[in-house]
Amino acid sequence: MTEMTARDKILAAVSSARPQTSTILPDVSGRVSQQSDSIALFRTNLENSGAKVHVIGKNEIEDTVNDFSDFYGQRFHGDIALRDFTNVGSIAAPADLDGAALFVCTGQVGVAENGAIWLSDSNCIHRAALFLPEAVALVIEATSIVPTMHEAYEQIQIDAEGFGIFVAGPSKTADIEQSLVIGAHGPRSLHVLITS
Amino acid sequence: MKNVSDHAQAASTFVSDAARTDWHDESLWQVRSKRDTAARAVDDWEELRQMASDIKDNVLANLDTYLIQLEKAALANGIEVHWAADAEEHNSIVADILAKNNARKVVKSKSMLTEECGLNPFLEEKGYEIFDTDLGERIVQLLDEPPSHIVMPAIHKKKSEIGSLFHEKMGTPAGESDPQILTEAARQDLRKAFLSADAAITGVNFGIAETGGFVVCTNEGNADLGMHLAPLHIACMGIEKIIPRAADLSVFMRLLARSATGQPVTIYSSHIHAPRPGARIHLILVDNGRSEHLAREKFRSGLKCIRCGACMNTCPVYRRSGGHSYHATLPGPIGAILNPGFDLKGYGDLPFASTLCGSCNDVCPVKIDIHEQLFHWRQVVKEGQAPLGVKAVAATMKRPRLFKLLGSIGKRLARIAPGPARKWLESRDLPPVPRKSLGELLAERESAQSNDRDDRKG
Repeated sequence: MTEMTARDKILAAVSSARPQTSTILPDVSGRVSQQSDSIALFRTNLENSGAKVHVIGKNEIEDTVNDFSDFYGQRFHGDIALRDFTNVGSIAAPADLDGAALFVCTGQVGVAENGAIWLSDSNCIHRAALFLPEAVALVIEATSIVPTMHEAYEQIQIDAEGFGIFVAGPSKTADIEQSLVIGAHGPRSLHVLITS
Repeated sequence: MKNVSDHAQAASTFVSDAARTDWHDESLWQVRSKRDTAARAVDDWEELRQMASDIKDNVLANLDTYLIQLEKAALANGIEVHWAADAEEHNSIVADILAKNNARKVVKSKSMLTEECGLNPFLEEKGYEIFDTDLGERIVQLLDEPPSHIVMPAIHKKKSEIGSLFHEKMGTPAGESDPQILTEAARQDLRKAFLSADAAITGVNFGIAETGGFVVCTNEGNADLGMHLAPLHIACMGIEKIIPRAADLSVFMRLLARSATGQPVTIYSSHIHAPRPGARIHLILVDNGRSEHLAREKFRSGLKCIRCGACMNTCPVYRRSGGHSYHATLPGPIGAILNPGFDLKGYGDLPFASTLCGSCNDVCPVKIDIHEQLFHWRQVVKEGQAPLGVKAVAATMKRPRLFKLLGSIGKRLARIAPGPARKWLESRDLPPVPRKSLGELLAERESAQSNDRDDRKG
């Protein structure tokens, strides 16, 4: 007879301990949100968390990112090709992105109620590219902005790729006496380009 | 501090500094107020809470099924899965994985579970270099203190104290206490650790049974810098952190940050389903007393907790006694109902560290009946032993003559109160004792009324 593994032990214990009657899972899909101006709310929420928002035309992306002067140094792009930017895919080790000035890629869905932007591996190429550079810029189409997280999770498939993330501002902390400091470990600034 | 098993005693140092107590109280009340504003901005907040509560009830009733589902899907995604029955097993699994990968330098993001398991001291003893990377967590690590709050680990520390600490440990200028400058120093210091770490250890906010992945939320981006740079990622998850479906995240993600800090969402909410090319992910599913707690019908709903900390921020006792007074990894009201399950003797004092005001229930995003459980735990703790006072009162009430006698000498009794009663009186001012007892007043009144009646008759 083999000894019980931790797995067997835990599952057996859980199965005898759990309640025998189960609550029915609520239907979380198809919730209709009433929101008059999703883009305005999306913008306000991002600005409240310290992001800089630019509402621009579809062909103004390159000019806009070239105007950023937050930081000087090497600039990288992810899934959106930009003149004078290095393709992040050409970097072998993600650690090489330490000290980079700017990283730009696109986001898939924007969420008005909290300013969060969903993107995944195919957008950022290197996961660390969203965290090591001093500044990050995400490009999102105005038509991709939805009212709440319910619509967002309906649109995305969280396991479509190995990594997906909601980004809702620049890295921040308030761990010292509740004082807000922008630029904790990750980017010190986040630009969001809303295109239409 | 570790050996103290009495909340009041543990709080006595903290509350002896009245100005500091007020400051702590106000800091947390500010967070509570932000939470209120954020919650009120969501029209269907109460509906969301009910949904979250229902989902978690469903999880508890089907926990074994969901765990098997999570394991299967995670394995298919390329995530290695481990099971740990207790803290000891968890720690040795972590050490084993680190050893097999020749990892010595570890960056950690905040995980209450690894705190609960005592992972840091265990690994440090074995010679591993551990960097806590959440700023608050880093501060308490350098101070060699446990966190005092699950979301804001260093909420009990003043910036001047953090300034002196950083001056000593990171060479910031003496007297420097500007949070911006101190945060920058920690950023520079920990960036080096992130770039050279052999492994990253993170907690898990939500494990998703349906998709075999998990979600990690931070504002600083520290969990991400750890897991996207190190070749090895170990994620430690309590078995109750599971949710059934990806769509359920919409409910919890709307509730979590609003309840925790009043933000509409955390800055980074990472969904991990597979390692990046060349890297590995290990997911450890930890029981450590949870299955035992699940069997306690009156208390099992405590396992619905999503660790937002809202009950701490609103609790009048927590706010004024500080997290360390709970002498447990999980402080505050939620700690007071979960810890006694894990160690009744060690944490039997905690259910009494409450006014039973019920504010914790009102803010809990998954509707745990915290204050009812605090009350139930009191019965368990005191079963058969201490309600001496209650028994004495009951006995007195049944004996009118004794009641009368004690009533008339009550004021003297209060002054010479024995042990526990005197303790209770320590922090309270008794109202002046009336000249006459209630019984005496009633007797006077009755005799006056009967005189009155007699007069009228006459």
